[in-house]
Amino acid sequence: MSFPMERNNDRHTAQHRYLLFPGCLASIRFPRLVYLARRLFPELGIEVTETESFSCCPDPVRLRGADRFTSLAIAARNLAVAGETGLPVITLCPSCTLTLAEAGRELKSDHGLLRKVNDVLAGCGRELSGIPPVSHFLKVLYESPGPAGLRDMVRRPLKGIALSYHSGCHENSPPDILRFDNPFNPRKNEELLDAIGARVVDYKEKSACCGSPLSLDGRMDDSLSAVALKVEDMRRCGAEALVVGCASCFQQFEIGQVMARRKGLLDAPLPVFHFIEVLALAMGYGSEAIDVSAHKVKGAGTAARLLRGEVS
Amino acid sequence: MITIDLKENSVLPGGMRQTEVCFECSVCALHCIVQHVAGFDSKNTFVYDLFRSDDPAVHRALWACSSCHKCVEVCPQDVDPLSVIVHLREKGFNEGRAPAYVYDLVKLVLETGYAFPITKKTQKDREELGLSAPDSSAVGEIRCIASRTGFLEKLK
Repeated sequence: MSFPMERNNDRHTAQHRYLLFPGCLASIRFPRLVYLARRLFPELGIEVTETESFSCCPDPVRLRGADRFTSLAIAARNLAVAGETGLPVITLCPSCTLTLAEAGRELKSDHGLLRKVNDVLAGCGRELSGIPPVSHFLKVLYESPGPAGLRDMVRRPLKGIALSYHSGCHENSPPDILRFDNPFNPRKNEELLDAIGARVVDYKEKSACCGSPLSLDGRMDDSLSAVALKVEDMRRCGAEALVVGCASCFQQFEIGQVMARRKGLLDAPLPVFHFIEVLALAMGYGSEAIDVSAHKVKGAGTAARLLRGEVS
Repeated sequence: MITIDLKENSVLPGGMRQTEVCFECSVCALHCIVQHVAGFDSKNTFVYDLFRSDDPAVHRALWACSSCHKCVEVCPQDVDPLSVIVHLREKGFNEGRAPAYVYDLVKLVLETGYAFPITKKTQKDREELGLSAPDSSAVGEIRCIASRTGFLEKLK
C-alpha cells in the first residue's frame, strides 16, 4: 500500500489548493459559514474545491462510541473520497478535523487495520490508498498567510474591538494528532484575531469547554452553568464579544446564553462571532458576513455595530 | 477502591488494566466539562466515579464527555481515561443500554448522511445563499459499510 500524500504532504505542493470538508452543522444549520468560506478563502490564497460525496465525518462522540470500527470505516471512506482528488483537506469544524486526522493516523500506523477497513470499503466501491492531511481552517490560515500575512491582507481592520477567543475541545487536543497549539493555553488563534485588528482579551477559563456535550446529553442546567462560567469570565476581563472557530461552540454560546439569561444564570450575555464572520468583516464584507437569524445575542456598542456588518 | 478492573468479571479487556494505577490525584478533573454535572467534586471526580461504578457501561455521565482528551494529556499515571470511556460506550451501546438519543443520532447519520436533521430552514437558507440542497449521495455507501461491518444488524 502506498501513501503518496504521506510522502509528499507539503500542502504547498497543491498550490494552496484544498478540498473543503464543511461538516454537518455548518452545512445544515449555518450554511452562511460555507458560503463565506467559499468566497473568502480564495482571497487569502486558499483555493477550495468541493465534492458532494462526503458524509458525516462521523461524529467523534456518539458514532465512535457506538461502534469504533464502523466509525473508522466511515471516516476512511471520507478520506478515500479526498484521496481520489489528490488534495489535502480543509475543514470548518474541529471535531471533523479530529475524526478524520485520528482515523488517518490510526490507518497509517496499522497496516493490518487498513487492510481490514479496505476489505469493507472494497465491497462498497471505494479504496483508501493515499491518506490526505486534514487541517482545520484556522491552522491553515495560521500557517499561510499567517498572522503577519493576514495583517497585510486585511482591508478593514476591526479597530481594536475587545474580543476573547474560545477554543473548542478538538481544536488543539490531542496535540500529537492535531499538531497546532497548546490545548491548555492556546495563543495562535488569538494572534490571528490580533492580525485582523481586534484587541485580544485574555481570560482565566480559556481551556474550559463551552458545555455543548452536556446539553447534547440532556443536562441543560449543567450546560448553561458552563456557558455562564466562561462568558462571565470573559466579560470581567473586558471582552465586548467572543469569537469561536467551531459551529457547535457557536450554537452553544448563542442558544446557551439566551437560556442562561432566562433562567437567571447569566446577567449580561456577550455577542458571539464565528471566526469566519469577523474575518469576512475585516476583509471588507458588509452585512452579508453575518447570518442575522443565527445571532440571538445582539449586544451593544461596537459589537452590535459589527453584527450589522459595520466596522467603522 | 477502584472496582472497574479488579473484579473477576472486569468489563474492560485485558489491555486496559491501566485503570488500576489511578491513585486519585484529581488532576483529570481540572479541565473536565463533565465535572459540571451535579455530584462530582475533587474527591469524587467523574473519572473516579466511573472507575468505582458497579455498572460503568451505563454510568450516568458516560455520554456527556466530549472526548476532548485533556484528561489523557494531564494524567501523571498514564491511565488514559478516554480509552476506557470509549470502550464502555461501545459495550453499553451493544447491550442496548446507551441513551436513546445516541441510537437516534446513529440512525439519522445512516439515513441522511448528516448528524443534524435537514429542515425547511436549511433548504431556504441554502437556497438564498445560492448553495445546492444538502446532498445525501453518500448514504448508499455508508449504509453498505455499516452492513458489511455488521453494525446495521446490531441496530435492528
